[in-house]
Amino acid sequence: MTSIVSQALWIYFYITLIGLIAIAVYGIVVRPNLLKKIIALSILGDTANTFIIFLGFRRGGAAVPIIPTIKPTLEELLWFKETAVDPLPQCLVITAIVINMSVTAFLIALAIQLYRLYGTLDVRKAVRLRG
Amino acid sequence: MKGVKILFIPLMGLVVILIMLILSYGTLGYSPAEYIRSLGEFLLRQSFNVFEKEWWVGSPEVITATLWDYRGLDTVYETTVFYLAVIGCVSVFRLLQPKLAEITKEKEEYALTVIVRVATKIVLAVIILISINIALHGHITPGGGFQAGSAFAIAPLLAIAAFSRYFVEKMGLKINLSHALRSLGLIIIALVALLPLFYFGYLLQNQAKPWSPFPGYPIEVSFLELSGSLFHFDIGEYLNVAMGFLAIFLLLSLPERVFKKDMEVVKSES
Repeated sequence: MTSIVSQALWIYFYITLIGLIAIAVYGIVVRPNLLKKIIALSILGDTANTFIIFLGFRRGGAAVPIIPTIKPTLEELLWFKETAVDPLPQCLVITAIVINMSVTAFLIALAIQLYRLYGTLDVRKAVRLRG
Repeated sequence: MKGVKILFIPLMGLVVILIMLILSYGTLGYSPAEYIRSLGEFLLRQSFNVFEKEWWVGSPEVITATLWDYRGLDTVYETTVFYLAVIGCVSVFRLLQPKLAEITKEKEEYALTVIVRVATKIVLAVIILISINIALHGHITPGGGFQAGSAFAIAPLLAIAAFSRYFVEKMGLKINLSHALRSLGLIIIALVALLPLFYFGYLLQNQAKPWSPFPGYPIEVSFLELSGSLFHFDIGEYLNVAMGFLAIFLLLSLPERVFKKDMEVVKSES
């Protein structure tokens, strides 16, 4: 019974992630408003980060990859190695989050300046304008 | 045009599903794998291995250890990308007359209620203290430079929303100060990364290695756990990220009328 429930939960998790990516791609490609494009881009980035963290998850033990003591014994180190999740995806994600934030801030700055100069955020109108 | 759109969306969905299937090959299905990859296991085993110190970092926090030691060069370049993104924002928002930005005092009658102002002041102090705590303990507890900087970034945002941009500048957090501290953070990171080279070690070296003459950064000074270079890197990163976000928020909160005044000068000159 529990296996069926957990299986359904994992499938639900994958469907949520795929749906979020589909929404984000739709927002970036189809929506003409620049602000909505930026929001969709940040949704895409966050979904990708969630997915990467999920790749490092492990069944059975899912401890935080931080050793709880300053002076560990050999048994504690072995136990830690057997239970902790993969730290590498989390490191990649922390790098990706900061890059994502800085890129979003720069894009927002550009969008505000575009609105101040041309009075529109619609890309279809903005490409026809000549400043 | 309409038909192209209808075809395009399912195609994109198919591409997305295929990419995710390829990426998650081995973990997709019933539930995640029981064993992690060998590289992750190596990091978990060696990061704080006090019995076999050939590959160790001296930090029980494996994520910070990976960020600043095993993948150190990557993180240094990433910090540079953040620095350059802030420079990009500054150059987009530059004014032809910088003096216009100084006159931003709001009128008193637009202030929010006393409850909001007092509560915000208490929360501001707590946010700044917690962010410093996250930064200084980043090598032994969850946290680090990025996380602390992101936590600090909430403080100016809250102050601008509850009070005004003028209030933030009166607190002493001016944009020139933010540029100075941001550059100081990058200089700290560069110095800590380059110091082993003067002792004939290798770039970004943290602990002593058998094949390198550099003795390694100190792991503990009396009762303080420093975890080698990670502590210094975290402080530099904290300054860089926190002050970078402060600069971005100060620029974004410049009133519209300042830009309008500035644009008038441009139009009259051309």
